[in-house]
Amino acid sequence: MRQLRKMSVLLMLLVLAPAAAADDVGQVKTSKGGVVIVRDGQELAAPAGTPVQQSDRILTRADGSVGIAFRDNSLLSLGPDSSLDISLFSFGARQAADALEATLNRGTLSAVSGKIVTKSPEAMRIHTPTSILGVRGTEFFVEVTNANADR
Amino acid sequence: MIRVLGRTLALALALAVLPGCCWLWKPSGPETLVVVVPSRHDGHVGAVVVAKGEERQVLDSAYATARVKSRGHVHRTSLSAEEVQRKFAQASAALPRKSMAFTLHFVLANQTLTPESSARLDQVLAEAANWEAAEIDVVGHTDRMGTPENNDALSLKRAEHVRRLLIDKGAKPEAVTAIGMGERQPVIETADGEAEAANRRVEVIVR
Repeated sequence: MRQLRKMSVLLMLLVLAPAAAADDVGQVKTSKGGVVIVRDGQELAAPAGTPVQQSDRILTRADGSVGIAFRDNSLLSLGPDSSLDISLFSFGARQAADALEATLNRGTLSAVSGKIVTKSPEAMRIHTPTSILGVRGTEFFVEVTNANADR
Repeated sequence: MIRVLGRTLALALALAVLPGCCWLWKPSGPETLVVVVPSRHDGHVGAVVVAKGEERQVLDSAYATARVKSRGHVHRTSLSAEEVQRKFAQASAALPRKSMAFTLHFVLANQTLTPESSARLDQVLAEAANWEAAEIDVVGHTDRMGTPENNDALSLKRAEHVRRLLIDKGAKPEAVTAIGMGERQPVIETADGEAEAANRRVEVIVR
């Protein structure tokens, strides 16, 4: 009986897991030079049209740059030698508040806020090694220098 | 005796100087630079709140800048437009295009587009051609004639009809999504049961 219950829990997890992981939060719209997405420890090529998911790390090489459009029309782009983690994205979900959280580990970031910020200011946050940026609107740039190159 | 004293003194001196010199040599650690700029789309200047521990600084004017090191306070400064352009040229050039919205209208209680709206389909495709990887959202809306349930179905039917027209004209099927919003997002608020041509529409967003 106990084993049966254990098995049914396991089965439920198996059924639920793929559905949660398949959620695309945005798409690569521009991609130049060396650009990769690190997902589940794997490095994937990231030409224009590649879907972006929560928990992805976006990396650009010395000759790379990349632009991403999120489902709420937030726009983020990276210059060369940059690293950005997509920590959290939720838009229009019934069970969660709208939020966009990303971490710039190093390099340069260009950003234009989208509908998430229009509806709830500061629901978009950019984390850096030394600060947290609460976004109330529109366009800004961020640079992180002298950071840990491993990230 | 003097020798021993001299040695002790030298050692003491070295110990006193060592922490100082190493503190100077220590790499300075990560630094963040944030600058708010006028929107490239409409010139509007927004705001970014820079938080470090308990400290909060609001940047809300054009080219207002903050530098944040691991130690010390948030340092406010200002960069020139040229300095910003130089520093962020490549990141800025990689920013995706702004999404474009097109509104299409229907003949009353029908799935037929008005003639002007039919012509607008070509504009949608022309805009999509400007993108390396365009996604096209087709969102149907109705007025408040009929029940909300029927309007949900009708709005989706209209959206799917427009999706089909776009694909027939050459849009990639996997890039076009049809969504029905029913009567929930009117352009003009009306009483229930009222016909309103402006609300009977499909919005097409190229992004």
